[in-house]
Amino acid sequence: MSDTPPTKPNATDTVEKGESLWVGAWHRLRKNKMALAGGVFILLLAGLSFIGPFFLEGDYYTNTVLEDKLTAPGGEYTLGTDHLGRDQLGRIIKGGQISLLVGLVATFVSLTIGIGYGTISGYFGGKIDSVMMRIVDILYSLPFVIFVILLMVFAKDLGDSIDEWFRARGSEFSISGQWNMLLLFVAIGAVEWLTMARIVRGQVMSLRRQEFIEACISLGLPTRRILFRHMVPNILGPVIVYTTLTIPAVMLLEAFLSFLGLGVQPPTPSWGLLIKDGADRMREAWWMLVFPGALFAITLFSFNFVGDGLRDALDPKTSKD
Amino acid sequence: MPLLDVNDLTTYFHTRNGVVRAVDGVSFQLEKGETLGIVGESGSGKSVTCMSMLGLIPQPPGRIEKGTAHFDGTDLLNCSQKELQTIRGRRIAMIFQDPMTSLNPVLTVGYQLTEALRLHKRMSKKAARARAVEILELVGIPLAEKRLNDYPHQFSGGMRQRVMIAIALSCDPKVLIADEPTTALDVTIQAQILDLVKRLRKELGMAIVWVTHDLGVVASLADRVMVMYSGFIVERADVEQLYAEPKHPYTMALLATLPEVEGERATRLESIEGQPPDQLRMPTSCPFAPRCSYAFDRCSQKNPLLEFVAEGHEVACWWDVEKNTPREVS
Repeated sequence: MSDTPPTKPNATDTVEKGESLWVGAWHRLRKNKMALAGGVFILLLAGLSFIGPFFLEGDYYTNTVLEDKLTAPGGEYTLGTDHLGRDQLGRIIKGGQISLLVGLVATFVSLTIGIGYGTISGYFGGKIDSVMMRIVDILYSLPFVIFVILLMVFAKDLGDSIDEWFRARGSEFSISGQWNMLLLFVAIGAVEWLTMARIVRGQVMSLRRQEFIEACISLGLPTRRILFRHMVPNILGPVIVYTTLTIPAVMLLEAFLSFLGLGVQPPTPSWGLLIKDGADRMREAWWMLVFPGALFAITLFSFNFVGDGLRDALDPKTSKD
Repeated sequence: MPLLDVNDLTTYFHTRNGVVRAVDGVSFQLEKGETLGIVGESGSGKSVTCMSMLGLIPQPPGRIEKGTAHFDGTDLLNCSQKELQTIRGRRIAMIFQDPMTSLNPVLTVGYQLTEALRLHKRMSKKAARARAVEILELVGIPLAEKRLNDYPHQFSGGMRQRVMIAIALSCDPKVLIADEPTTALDVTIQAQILDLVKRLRKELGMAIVWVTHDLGVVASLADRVMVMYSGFIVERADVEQLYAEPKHPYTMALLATLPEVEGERATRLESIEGQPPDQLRMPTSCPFAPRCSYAFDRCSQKNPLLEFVAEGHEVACWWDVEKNTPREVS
């Protein structure tokens, strides 16, 4: 913050412009170099993963050239090849696509459910709160792996059934290709929202006793408006921090599930799968572990830096004026 | 017809330890443009009285047991929350004690000011903003146009209370309920806020219910005062009359606690002996009897009712302090 001279004209400038919460947050975020670097890295990575494939062959991550297996980096393969002779760069790009997608979508799912559920539970309190939180407790007590296995096993054929249903109505729509991914989102999202709901509930409960909420009620604002216009912005700080912790956790979960054979199905790679393959061949082919591993680590760091920066930026009380 | 007619309002809190009789059969009227002061110590039921009228009592544990509160022909106590939402803010507004916590810290003052206007008056964003500037200027905030974009933490305590008043007044309410709005402010700011309220009352002509435990504040502001103790009204009179001839021992004791400024060096501050009663008990005796220097046997047998003892002066006491004899029972 030292790079802004606290001069008078500057101060009135910001007042005149009418800084909204988000504009103000952006100004503050911009001064946080680490968060900015993290954000840029995530954007680059997302660009590479989602736009990169358009410039590559259709089978860039499955093209198997057995003669070239375990080629060291450099030369024809920038990042080397794996034990089946597949291009490591292509697999990392595709893996990033999957990992980021799972991380973001599953986190978004958990965020939406968690905030809605926690806000309602914390605001209304009493019996509603008791019932809602007991449901969370019950879901918490279910062993996650068993829950996911059950979901995967019982819902697996559902994708084909949906396809058939559409085909019977003459539609080309097909979901079974993405079905496994969808299940993964649902499974992870369904577990991760529990902690979010608890955090949000706690925050809302303490806010509920604040006078400004009472003032809102006495102003005749409808409950929905109080909840989502007045409560939710106040809990964004902890929620964002927790979200940035959830994204890496979800990515790790995905790696774990893929390792068990329940998540992403080979030959589709994810970073978790790549790291697992690399760990198996650490001695003969270091590049199979180091590149995806380093990328994964840097990505997780970046999310954490961005989360930290966002927390500071979104709290108007931290602004210096 | 009075603007606000509260009859036998009774609010209990059903707690684990028993029933707390926070407000026990309170009746009062508020005329158009009148300022009614409600005075009492902590826990006397003055805030609960106001909150009950607006349906702000947390239920459970609170419950409005009986009573009516007619405002403009509607009984506030029998309204659904939906109906109340159309009355709160629009026709009856409220300001709270602590300006530091009464504004949402993450929303701009402008947003909080325009929100009710846009909702209740269906104003456009632009019109609401113009009105917000107007009302901020009315409550004496300089550079109102610019300050709309500021967050509450950029305002001082007194300024925040001005903003709170501005928000409360934005929709032209008929009644303003002020729940100890100057208690958290220092005396100079308090004086400014009082002047502001007096000016606004003259300009806008709304009725005010002013809750406080500060007799000095009430003296300068209210037309009529009612003194509450343990959920009951113990005395009610025009403000001059109450200060000149208090007729309830509790009011007299309260007035005696006011520090004297005139004369020699200030003497030791007076206080009222004893503690306010436990409100879990049944109201079978006068609640003030244990602390009252005039108490006699009748006081512990029956709770006195509020009765007229002079023109516009009601007291709930068995003792006639003027004649220094027990009051005749009719």
